[in-house]
Amino acid sequence: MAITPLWAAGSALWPVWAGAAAVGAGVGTLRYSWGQAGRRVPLNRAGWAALALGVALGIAGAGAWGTAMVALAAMATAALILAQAAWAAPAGKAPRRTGRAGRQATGPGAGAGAKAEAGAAPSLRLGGRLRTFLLGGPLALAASLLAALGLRAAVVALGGGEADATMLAFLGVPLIWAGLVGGLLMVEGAARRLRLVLAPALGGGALLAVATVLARLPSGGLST
Amino acid sequence: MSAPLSPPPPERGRVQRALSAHSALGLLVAAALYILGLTGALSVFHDEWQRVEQPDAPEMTHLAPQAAQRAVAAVLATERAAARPTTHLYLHLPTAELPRATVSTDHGGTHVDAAGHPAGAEEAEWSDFLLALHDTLTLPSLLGLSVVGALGAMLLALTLTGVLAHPRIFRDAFRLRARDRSGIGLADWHNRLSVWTLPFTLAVALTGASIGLGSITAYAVAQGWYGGDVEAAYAPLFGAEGQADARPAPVPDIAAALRTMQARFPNITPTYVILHEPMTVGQQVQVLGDHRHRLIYGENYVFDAAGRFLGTTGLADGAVGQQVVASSYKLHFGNFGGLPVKIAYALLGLGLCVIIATGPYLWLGKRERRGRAALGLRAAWGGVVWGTPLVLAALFAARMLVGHAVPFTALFWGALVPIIALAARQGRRRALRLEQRI
Repeated sequence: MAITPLWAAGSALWPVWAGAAAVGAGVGTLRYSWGQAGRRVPLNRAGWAALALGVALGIAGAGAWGTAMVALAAMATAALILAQAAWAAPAGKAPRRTGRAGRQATGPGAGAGAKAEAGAAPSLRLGGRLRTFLLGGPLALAASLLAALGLRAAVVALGGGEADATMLAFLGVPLIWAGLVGGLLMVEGAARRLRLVLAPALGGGALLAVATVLARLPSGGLST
Repeated sequence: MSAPLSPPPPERGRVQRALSAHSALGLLVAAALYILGLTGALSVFHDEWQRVEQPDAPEMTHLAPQAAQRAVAAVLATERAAARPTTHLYLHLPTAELPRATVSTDHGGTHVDAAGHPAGAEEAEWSDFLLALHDTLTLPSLLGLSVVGALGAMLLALTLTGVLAHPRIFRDAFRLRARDRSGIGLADWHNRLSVWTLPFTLAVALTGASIGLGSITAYAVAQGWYGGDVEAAYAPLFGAEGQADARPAPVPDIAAALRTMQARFPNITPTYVILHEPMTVGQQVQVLGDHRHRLIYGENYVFDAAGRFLGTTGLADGAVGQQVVASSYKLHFGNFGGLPVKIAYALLGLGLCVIIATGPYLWLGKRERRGRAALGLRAAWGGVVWGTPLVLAALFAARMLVGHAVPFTALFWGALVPIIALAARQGRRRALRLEQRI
């Protein structure tokens, strides 16, 4: 079973390879544009347009597979440009060992660090950290599940298929959870954090309740 | 994605909060994510590792339908003779990347030759260990999958906060002061790799998280809509298994099913034959067919025991939800474009490891510049970053020198944990010596 090289896989895939070339050109154009002094709006637009065209060609050529190949081409082009930047970068100065940085090990500042390690540690705020962990861990996961189930119920109630609805639940849980964790760590104040977790849970619960009521109606829901 | 170079004042609040969130979350999950990233990059070559592990296993480009029939019948006869019937049987058919035929049951794998005769046990413990470390961190399967899924969600959260913490994401996209040794170089590597591997990171994090958390989600969906039947919850996506009937029946006609595949679907490459409840009246035959230039892991072609075609599950042309879920696996594992894509995935995976490894070093460097060095923590993190590949390399050497019976899981954790502890101890001692010198 010989391995067919991707580029020899058939002329039907030409939009994918054209898309790969377009995103490569797009990344190169943006590199040039962002490297100039001042803002180069036409060049920026040309770069973004080439990226959009490349993705469109990938989708047109082979759907999700084509899009994945085009995305890989964009990342490969960027990697080459970054490799060139790394190669051309001037040698850096050695880290300063005097002044503030130097105190890390030998000055009063280092004393603080070393003392902390030696046992004179400041408060670890374990209570607050545990609360944040519980909110961002099990509670946020539970809220994400409830929101995803609510989404699933809503899709089915609106006439969507079970496979589509379940797929949304599968993707919804990690997406909602990730958003919640990011949000929880960014907002300040216990009340705001609690509200942030409760909002998707309540929204999901409400959607579930509405969908359950609709399913019990004689018509069997909105879909009929 | 860490400290911006010079964030504009109006953004400062959001940027600082995002950076703080990014650091806190990163420190919590960095070690586990690093192990997942490294084993993921290595597991891209799962097929190739198997060939390296057992180079003398019979290889072939094609297994004839009659040979497939003979292979399945021989393995089922062995299982029956040992009075340990299997509930499922998988016949891996030769592919370009793994040109071997292997029959796997609940009790192990057996290679077969081109004529379908058994040709020795499968010995892929190293490859399977790598995959187990990546899939479950070697924890019990359901717990491990869920923990790894949760880590995938945390990688998504890290990506989100990282992007928010980087207000000059576009202007700095190509700025790489690679050889700067004062901390800026490290930050540039972290930020630039993060930005340009963003599509890859989002893809593997989302697919990994949804696969890993799938059991929890399916359980919840089953409780809500299917009376607690988890298989029924999965059925709209992957199809349902046939009606169980445990009365004995002869070996199903695999050869007929494969001949039908050749005749009716000549453009589809069969990759697996799957038997559900073999040698019972309720048995069912599925042929997993690979569709070229698709992200789906394949389509299930369903046959009855006599080899009559019954239909497909719909992974290739069914509901959008089915196609999306079926596309998660190849997108995650990078096996959708042959060796070039595998190499790209491995490099991107290693890039992700560099991003994860540099994150805590950036945080530690910032502490040190503020005069709050944490030498123990720095040394412990070094233990994770260098110890993990070192232990994996040692285990691979042991596999090649000693054999497949090496207790990989016990040795991995038994070596890595002391390495990290010893490194931390050395770091703390160094801190104490420095303090005494003051």
